Amino acid sequence: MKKKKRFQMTKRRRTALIGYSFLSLWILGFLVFTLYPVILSWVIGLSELEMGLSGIKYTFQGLRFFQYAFQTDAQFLPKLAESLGFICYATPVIVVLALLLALMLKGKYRGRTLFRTIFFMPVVIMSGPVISGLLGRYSVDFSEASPALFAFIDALPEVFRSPCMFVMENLVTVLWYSGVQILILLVSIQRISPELYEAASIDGASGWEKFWKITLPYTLPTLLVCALYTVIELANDSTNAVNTYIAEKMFDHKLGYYSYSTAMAWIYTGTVIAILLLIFCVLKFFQRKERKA
Amino acid sequence: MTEIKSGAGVLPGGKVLHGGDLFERTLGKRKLFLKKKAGGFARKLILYALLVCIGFVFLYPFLYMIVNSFKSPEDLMNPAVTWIPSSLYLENYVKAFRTLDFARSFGNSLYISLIAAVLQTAVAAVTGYGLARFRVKLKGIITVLILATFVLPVETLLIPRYVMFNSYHLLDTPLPLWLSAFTGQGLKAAVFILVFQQIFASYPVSLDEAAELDGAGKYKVFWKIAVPIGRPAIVLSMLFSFVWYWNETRQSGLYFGEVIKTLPMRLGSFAASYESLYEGAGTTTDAAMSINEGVTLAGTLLSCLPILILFIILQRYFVESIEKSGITGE
Repeated sequence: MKKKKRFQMTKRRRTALIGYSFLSLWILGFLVFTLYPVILSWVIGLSELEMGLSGIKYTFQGLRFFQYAFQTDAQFLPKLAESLGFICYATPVIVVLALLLALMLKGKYRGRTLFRTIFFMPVVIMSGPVISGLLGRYSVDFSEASPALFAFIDALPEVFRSPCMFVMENLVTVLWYSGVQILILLVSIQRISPELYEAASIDGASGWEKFWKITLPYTLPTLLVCALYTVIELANDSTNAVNTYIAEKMFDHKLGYYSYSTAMAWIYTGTVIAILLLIFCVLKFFQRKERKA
Repeated sequence: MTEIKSGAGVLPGGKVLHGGDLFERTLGKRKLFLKKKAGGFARKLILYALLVCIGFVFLYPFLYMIVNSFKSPEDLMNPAVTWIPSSLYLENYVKAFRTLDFARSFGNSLYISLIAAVLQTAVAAVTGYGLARFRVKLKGIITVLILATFVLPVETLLIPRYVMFNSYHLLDTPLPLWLSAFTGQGLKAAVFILVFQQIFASYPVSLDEAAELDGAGKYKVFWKIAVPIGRPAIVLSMLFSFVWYWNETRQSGLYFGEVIKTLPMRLGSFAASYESLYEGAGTTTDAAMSINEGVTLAGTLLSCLPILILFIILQRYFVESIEKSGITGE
């Protein structure tokens, strides 16, 4: 008996070891290319760098560069606000648009593949230079193309006006960022069992009711993922105001070489993570409510 | 279980089927549904109108780019010429081709992103399998950390990684990109790892066990059973890694942008290189020589073209791979 048990133990341990061998590359990479850089970036952010012949010399400065970002630098906070504002406006718009487009694409009709291809194409060609070269300059201008619509939106109360204006002004950008989300939502919608809709139709539910009572609750987890994905995607966009500014200041030796950029990057990261947490909590709250109901 | 062909023999309230048929079955049912429904035509018309409108807005910058890249400087100045150029002007492309140093930068882009994509896919598959099929103590922590690598903006890691690669003298080579890809810290690696984990966790363990009874080791099981099953995920990971690495300029620009120029990088510095190529000779007064919208747009189109062709050829796989690998969250 005893011998057998020991044999099992070693077998289990061996399996675990093989398991770790599958994970070892990732663990190694995490330690070397993520954890170490994170630690190093705090060291850089908290100290002043001096480039010597023998390498980099670090002198501890405390939170000086973080303070500088908030109190002295007149440019950083407006840029941060601009980028965060864009994220906060664009994320709900992108998610809602993606859901609407996914609903439009879900049926089986002629040309479905073509439309999917069109809607997905931007994902493939979007790179920093393309975005700044193309989207910034050549998107549809609504104030010219459709003055009536423009005037109508302009007359709306402020609460509706500014989001609508935002959508109009950045329509193409917003659409171009929604390719992946459309497909993910489409898959999620197609997974919903048709029996549910059938049962609802028998009970006399309208399409509108079916959307709110079936489609939306079932796609809620996917919507959460889409929202988080969108925020991360927008935050990482190299052409947004903060990211450009951080890159610009990177080799500014008056500000301790990389130190100031690193400090700004961490402030930005902090705010982005706060947004992600907020979205997570809000949608989890809805999900719980939905489950109870 | 009975096999059910799509569209045929699906009764309302039909019995429970296995998951794979669900998608096909949904479509089959919808076909029946549409046939029965009266007034579907008007609805379809509205749907098409909406889709065409939105499609146009999607494609607007793109169409604009194509049209204007074929315009001569005279056409560009002429406000009467909007959508159809008066003649097919190819000079823009010739200039853009030279400015981009197309052949070389295309080659650079190709090998850098292809190798990165292969490495990233390989490590994502291995890691995903490890997470899906082994009971490892650190699994929970590792999953959280994988998600953390996705959430953490590249911006924060850019500088320390630069300092690190600098001290190892790896700058000006593509190695920083490849090394981070090969250890699962590449572009959006977390997404691919999770996709692989999902697909590997979804097939029955008995398949693995049967192979093990036949004498295969764990690694052989992975290679002979998991890898073929994970094909949709491999397609997804390869395609998207390739495209994302192709389009990436921030990291690569910092690590080796001075020495190795990829297509998007060339596009980023398009105006400057155009000037040094064509305007340096002192002929800046010549309107045909100075940079104009047409040339810039031709350059933009040329830099997207390889990826675009790839996408058009493989578009089925791009879309299908997302459907088949079934990422919907949770």
